[in-house]
Amino acid sequence: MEKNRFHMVLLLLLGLISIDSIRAQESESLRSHNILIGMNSDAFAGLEIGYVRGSSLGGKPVSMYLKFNMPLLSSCSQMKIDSWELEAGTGLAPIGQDRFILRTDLSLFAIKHTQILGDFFPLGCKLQMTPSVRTKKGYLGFQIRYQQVLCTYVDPSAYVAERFDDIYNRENQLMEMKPKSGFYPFTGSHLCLGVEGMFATSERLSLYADLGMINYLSEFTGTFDSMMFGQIPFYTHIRLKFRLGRE
Amino acid sequence: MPATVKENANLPSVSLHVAGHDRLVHVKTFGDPEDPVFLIMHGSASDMRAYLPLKVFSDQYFVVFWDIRGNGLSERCIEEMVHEIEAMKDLYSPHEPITLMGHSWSAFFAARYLAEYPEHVAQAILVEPNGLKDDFMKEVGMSLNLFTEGYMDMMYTTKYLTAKDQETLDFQALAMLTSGVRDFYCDENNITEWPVWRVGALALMVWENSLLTHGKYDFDYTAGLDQYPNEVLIVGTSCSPIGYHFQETYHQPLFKDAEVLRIENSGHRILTEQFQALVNGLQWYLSAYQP
Repeated sequence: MEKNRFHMVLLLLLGLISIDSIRAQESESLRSHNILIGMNSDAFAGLEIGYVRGSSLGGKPVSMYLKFNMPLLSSCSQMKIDSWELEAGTGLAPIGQDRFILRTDLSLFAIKHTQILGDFFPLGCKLQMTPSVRTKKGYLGFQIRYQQVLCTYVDPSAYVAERFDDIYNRENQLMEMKPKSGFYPFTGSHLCLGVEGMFATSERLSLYADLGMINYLSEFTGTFDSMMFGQIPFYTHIRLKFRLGRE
Repeated sequence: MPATVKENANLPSVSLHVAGHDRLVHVKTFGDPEDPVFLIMHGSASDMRAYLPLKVFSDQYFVVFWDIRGNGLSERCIEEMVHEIEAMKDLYSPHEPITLMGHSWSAFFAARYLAEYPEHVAQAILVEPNGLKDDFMKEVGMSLNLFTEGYMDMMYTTKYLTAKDQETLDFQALAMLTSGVRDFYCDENNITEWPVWRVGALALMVWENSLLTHGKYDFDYTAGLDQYPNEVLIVGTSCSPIGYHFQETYHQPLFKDAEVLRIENSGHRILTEQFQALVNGLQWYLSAYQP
């Protein structure tokens, strides 16, 4: 619980910094409708599609977005869509004359994942900050993203329930036990550190790419040496943003 | 996940003093305590559950199953496996030699016990031990099929479930039992069921990491195996990469007297794939023992 509190405090602190950075940035507004399509490394290959609304708030440029993600390779191999993520967020994409800019994103997400262990419905939030250097046709920056799951509804499968069968006590009597369905708080968090870049290929089309390392903030998550139970500690993400029109 | 003996005092357990600590292990016994003791050790990422049908030997032996430390419903800790076997022997058969069987990594530990305490074991059964030397394991390779549904699901799970304790790690690892990430089966698309209460994921991770230097196998645990005076039964299957061809090539020559029992049409999960063939082979070997 101490670690969870620390993560929440960290998240709030980063949120305050990001709000402050929004206030501080010099920019001009740009109202537009955009669509996103991309691929990411979720379960080796994930598909992302989304809508981005460019707008302004109090003279400051903001974007609001809604994204749908699904693990493409996993879904294709299972021939069904058992997993997806819906993410809604707001970001600041400053357009000004400064060479150094700070991009910020804050989003909420909901995931649905059905697998052999059961059905999982996590809710959480992400905060991303990208101190960047503006280039002629885009920017290049250092990406820091923190993701915190606030709670997960877990409905364990029959496969998990079977783990509680055939357990006997000292008197050799069967012990009646079963796993509990319900909400579990703060089930996951991780920190991503990487690089992000954007390149505007034309007035309407922009290419975004990022890659970096994932830190699961846990000594119990193996990487490389323990791959059977471990994780690949890298992520990558590439997406195209196409502007449909301006207001 | 089901509670361990540390959290649930109603579970049958014994306390072992190993590596300077008293640790509780989940234990089940069958047969007459006056009969010779037969200790049965489960493989990694597992517990005694799949092995309990071997209680058929309780008409000749006092059969003792336990979840080795860090696994199943035993307390979570991981070091000094040879001393754990010695502590179990001290507890159940302090004055007489035992019959010892280990499967997979536990067969590896049992082999080390034979080298270090040869006089404490009357009969030894090693069921598909992993390579006792780095060169042997290089023959097997380290390849994993990460593109299985199970592994991809586990990758996706980490978006919202971070293993910050052993219970969560065991829960995540449970999914891998059906994944076929390691190809130890005759048919990777039809993996045999493996009954288990709770895997010991961290125990396996720590143990396997201890065998690596800079990501490569670097170990040799063959010393002293030729000092064991009695016949060793090594069991190998037709489908596993550490099956009978592997055992005959690399492990049989390490012992003074070793026989390889060949089990056909089976992968590494012999207990659930070819149980009767295993029991028949064990009966043949065990019947030679006259306590």
